[in-house]
Amino acid sequence: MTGPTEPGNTVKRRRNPAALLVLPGVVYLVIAFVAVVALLISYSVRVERTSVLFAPVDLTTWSTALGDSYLWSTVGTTLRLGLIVSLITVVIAYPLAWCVQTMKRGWAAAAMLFVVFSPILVSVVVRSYGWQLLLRTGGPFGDTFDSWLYHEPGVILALVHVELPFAVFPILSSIRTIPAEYTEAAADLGASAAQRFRKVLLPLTAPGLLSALQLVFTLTISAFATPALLGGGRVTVLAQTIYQNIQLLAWPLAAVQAVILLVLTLIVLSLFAAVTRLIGGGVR
Amino acid sequence: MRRSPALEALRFVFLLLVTIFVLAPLVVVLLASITPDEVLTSLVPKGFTTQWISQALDYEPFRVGIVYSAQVAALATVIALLLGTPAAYALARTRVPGAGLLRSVFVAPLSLPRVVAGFCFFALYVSLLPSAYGTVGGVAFAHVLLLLPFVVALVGAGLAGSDPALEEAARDLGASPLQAFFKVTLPQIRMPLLIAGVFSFLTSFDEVDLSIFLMPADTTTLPVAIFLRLQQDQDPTTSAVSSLMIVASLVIALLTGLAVRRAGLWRTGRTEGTGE
Repeated sequence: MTGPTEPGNTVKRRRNPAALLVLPGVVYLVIAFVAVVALLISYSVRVERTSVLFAPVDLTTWSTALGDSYLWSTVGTTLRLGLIVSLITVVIAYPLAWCVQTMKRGWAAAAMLFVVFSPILVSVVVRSYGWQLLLRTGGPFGDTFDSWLYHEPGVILALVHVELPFAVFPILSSIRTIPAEYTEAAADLGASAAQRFRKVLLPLTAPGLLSALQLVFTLTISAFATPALLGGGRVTVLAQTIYQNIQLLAWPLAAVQAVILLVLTLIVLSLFAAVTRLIGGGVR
Repeated sequence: MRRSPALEALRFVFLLLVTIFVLAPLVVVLLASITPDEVLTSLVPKGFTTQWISQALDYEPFRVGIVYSAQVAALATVIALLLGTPAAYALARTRVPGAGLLRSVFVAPLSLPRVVAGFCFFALYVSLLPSAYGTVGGVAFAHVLLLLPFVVALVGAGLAGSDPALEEAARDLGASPLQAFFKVTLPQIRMPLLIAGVFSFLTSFDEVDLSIFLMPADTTTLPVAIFLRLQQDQDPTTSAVSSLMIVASLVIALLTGLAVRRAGLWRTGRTEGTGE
């Protein structure tokens, strides 16, 4: 977690009252997290739409929801999109990060970085709308993409576009930590380009690759606006059903689905943490 | 290292394709907003009009949304900076008990799905604070959760890259802790603060997934207004207001980039997004 050069570490840190400055932020986060856990659970174990803080515990909503095949097909769509999108995104982002890093002209690299990262600053709604305009029937490409818009391929395309910068960032960070001497040493010792990549560069960037996969996967399974706009009601993910149930005033069901989404996220995070530890042990 | 011409060509084509892929949906929105046609049928503009832009600015939900979003973004940015900067300072410069745990607590919101956070703040407001629902303060308070990790990471990186000895020297020369912070440390981290502020403002301004839970459909922030309108139909006024957002965001990003570059801090310290 700590960077290679952190001057703060070398200087003696004083124990002083300024340490208390961390408190306001912590208090805010504690309120938010307690609200998350307490309210989510409290709302999910009630049957009627009521805004009281503590309703009698009733697991009917849970048992109905878990027995509903629609919920499971939604979970399936959510996870499938997460898997496909994160794989495609990382397959594009990995060579992209290398290309940007090894660009010779500084201005060209800066321009490419701007192209890659500036879309983060454009609202997801606007970017999804752009894909709608491109893909729609009678649009610039006629009916070429008829089977894409309001179907999974369109959703995947737009999600890859939305998540690409988040995949490039951790990969680029891990590439930048590789000392140039490593590849030079490998080359001096007679390793071919392919060998240098497979034996030196790939293992050293594996942690970045994993963070990219993890980040894109978790962002994709919780994405709301893009699947809602590009899916056109035909592709339904968990995030949409939570919103729809709030609209339908089915708050307890929405809470159950939110808990499921949160648990899925936590499972994914801990799986990646375990894999990273496994691989990290081999590298360091 | 020398590279073969074939590899160079491949690399060029790849970068070109990525650039087209990344920019295409933004360019098409810009085109749709200045083309007279109701439906954009060609990527070559057939004429030029500003009627969609003026129509968009006359459309009540968009007008209300622009003001609403700007207020939310400003308030959320201020709160996030006020909470995040002291926290980053305490973590970087003092011995905080449980600092490792606290660092992961500050990045944890990044892993929380925004719709889940949206639902929770919705439940929090309807249960405890019904008057916060649909207000600038209520939405901004929730946005702070999304902004805080970035503020703490960016300002923390800035502090890690600045020299604590200078502040100590100021203290030794008789400056009060506050004087030392505002006169010595703050100027050193002004660029990370600027980046954190700009990033926070734009993130909050653009937010949909969380915001949509916190406001009634008739009075919403701009991106939510666009989302709700797109669910009904597509027309060039939506393109027009989207274009305004794209241009404004890119101009702000470009200006910030230039300011940072001028300050000679093109490579600010790395920030890690995940806690271990």
